[in-house]
Amino acid sequence: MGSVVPTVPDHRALDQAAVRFADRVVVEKINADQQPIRVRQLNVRAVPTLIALRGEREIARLTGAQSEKVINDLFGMAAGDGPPGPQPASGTDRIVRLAAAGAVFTVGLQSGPAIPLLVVGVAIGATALPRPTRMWASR
Amino acid sequence: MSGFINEAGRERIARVALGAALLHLGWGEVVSGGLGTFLKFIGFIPLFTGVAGWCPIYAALGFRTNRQTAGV
Repeated sequence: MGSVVPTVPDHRALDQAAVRFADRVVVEKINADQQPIRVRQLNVRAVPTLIALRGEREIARLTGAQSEKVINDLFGMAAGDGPPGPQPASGTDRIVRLAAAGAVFTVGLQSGPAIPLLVVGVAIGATALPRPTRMWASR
Repeated sequence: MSGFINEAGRERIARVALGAALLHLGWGEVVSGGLGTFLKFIGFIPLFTGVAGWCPIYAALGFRTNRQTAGV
């Protein structure tokens, strides 16, 4: 993980946004000089670059110096506050899925255990887990 | 996502509870024989429709029990 010069305005805005969205967006800073392979994998052609990923899919990219508002908007979009990409499971969705997972898993444990029910319970529970968006910043 | 879901929240929970109960009856061997085997599989239907929040029969009939928000 690369180092960051905290006095650069872009990075201050980035760090502030990272703190604000800490529960929903994971930020990884990459030093282009120290991690050239990762930079090539992400197809970074200029620094600084901000890339928002949801799962392994890139949903947004910013190149060059950006204002604090633009960075905040990107974080908001990455956190699911707006398009594009699939929205994370809502509160009701998550409650229903967790309840279903718990119920099926419990039934599975009490029934032998019944391995198919345990597997289904775990699978349903996995769909209820929040998937934080990763944000890559290279310099 | 909200357009896909056609079941109300309470209905989804009821379906999940019904599915879990049927699975318990089948897999827990509370009910044995052919009916027990039937329940082992049929219980997944209310469970999965509850988890997904989408009922194919509702969709075919153009029916929904949840309130759909206006789209853009």
